[in-house]
Amino acid sequence: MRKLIKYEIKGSYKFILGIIAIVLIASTIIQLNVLKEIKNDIRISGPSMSIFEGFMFALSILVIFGAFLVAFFHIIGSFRKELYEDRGYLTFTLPLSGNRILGAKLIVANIWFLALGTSTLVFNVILTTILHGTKWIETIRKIFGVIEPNIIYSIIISSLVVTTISFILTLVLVYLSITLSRVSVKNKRIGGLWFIVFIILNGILGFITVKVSTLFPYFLNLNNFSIVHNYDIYSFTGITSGLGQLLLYGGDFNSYINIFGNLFQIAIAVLGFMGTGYLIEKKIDL
Amino acid sequence: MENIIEIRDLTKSYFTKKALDNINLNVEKGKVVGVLGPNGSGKTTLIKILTGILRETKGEVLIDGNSPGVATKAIVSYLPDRNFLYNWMSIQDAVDFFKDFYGDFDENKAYELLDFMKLNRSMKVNELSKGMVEKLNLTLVLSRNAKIYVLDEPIAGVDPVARDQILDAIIGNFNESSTMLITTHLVRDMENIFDDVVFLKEGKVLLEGNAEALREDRGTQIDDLYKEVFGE
Repeated sequence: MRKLIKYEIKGSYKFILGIIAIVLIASTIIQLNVLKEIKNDIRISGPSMSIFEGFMFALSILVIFGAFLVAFFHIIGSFRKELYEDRGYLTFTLPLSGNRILGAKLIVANIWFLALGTSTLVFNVILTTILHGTKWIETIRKIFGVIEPNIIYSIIISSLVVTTISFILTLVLVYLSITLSRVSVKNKRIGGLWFIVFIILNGILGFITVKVSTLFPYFLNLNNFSIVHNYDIYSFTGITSGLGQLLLYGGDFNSYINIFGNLFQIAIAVLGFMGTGYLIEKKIDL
Repeated sequence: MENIIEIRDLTKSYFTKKALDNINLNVEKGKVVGVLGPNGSGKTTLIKILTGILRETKGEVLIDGNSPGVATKAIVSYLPDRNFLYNWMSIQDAVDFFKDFYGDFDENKAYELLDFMKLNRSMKVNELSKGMVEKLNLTLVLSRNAKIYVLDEPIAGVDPVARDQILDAIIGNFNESSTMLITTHLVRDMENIFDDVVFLKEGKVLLEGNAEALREDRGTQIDDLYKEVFGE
């Protein structure tokens, strides 16, 4: 699988670097415009953002959004190409199991999204520091100063855990939908069928996740690893809702992970992965 | 002699159409077998099932005792009838790729064959002509010391010079302990390298046997026999 990951990266790094370059240029335009606005506000004089600058500002935001979207479709498209294009004759005649092929695709997709997210974040943090100095660090310290560091860490870790689970599950469901649409309509390429399958699958699983989370409303607090019932969170934080949610941010700043809802998501991701691996190894007709 | 490929009652259906209809076939170890038939006779379908990228509707296929899968893919070297290399690759990348995934790949043999085919390692796959792609694919496939080689239409659509180079490479690099299955409808160019031939028509085996024995029995070349069988 390591070798396939290597070739997956080799085959797509130029495209991803291009996307990262576009996002960073767009980020720079946004940051420069923000800086200009701030300076105008301080002086309370001089012209504000010109029409062209405003256009560039809006365009840059759209470009960043679009670039992420293009990257997403490019990455999942690389899996789709294996099932519909000639390159599948190479990939699926390698002495590798379906799980390994799928695993390599999934790992590379995660690497690229991580690279895209991290580079955008780090670049913007550095640029903000260059343009505005280190004042923003102080501001953030003041905001978070009232909260215990342990709680901040637990909020960050809880959010990362739940987001990662949901993200991987989404990717697995996309791959499963593409594979199902290929297996069910043999030798015919129906554009967008996988997307319809994905929407249906996602809808059904989303509904079941809410049901499971509601039925077993037990939450894990990563700050002190205590398990609490939804009513307990309600009673001491004043949260009025939370049933069916995978992650709750309490009024006491603690974050709570819905145990059964997230376990259900992990189980579905594992089953979806195994199912897709089985289908591409045993059922795909090229 | 030991059978390396055993096919029992193999049927492949697409809805109501049968691409392969109850085929029974054994391929002996060490033989070069020509699978002959016009377009649509089921040659490629048969090859795809043997290489594990198409599933049978009915019947059984055993390759060295195993059903097509991960284990058989490690011993079958497959040349498809299309450019299957990734577009971003250079020829060197393709060699490295085969070296990484197939334990039986002989890198030195690959470089020798590339020189023989007059292919430069720095060339990009997506910049090659059809003939060059065919020569590159064949180089990679023949550079494996595989138990079984499966070549689907290796000389279709290439110019006569490339055709001769490809045939020379096949003859020069065939290992006696291996088995080779070659599909073609260009029988005249290839009949001299076949030990056995199988005639496929509309998914059925019409005729099979030792090429030399067939020539003697029928008093004609395989190419003429092919025209006789399929020329109606």
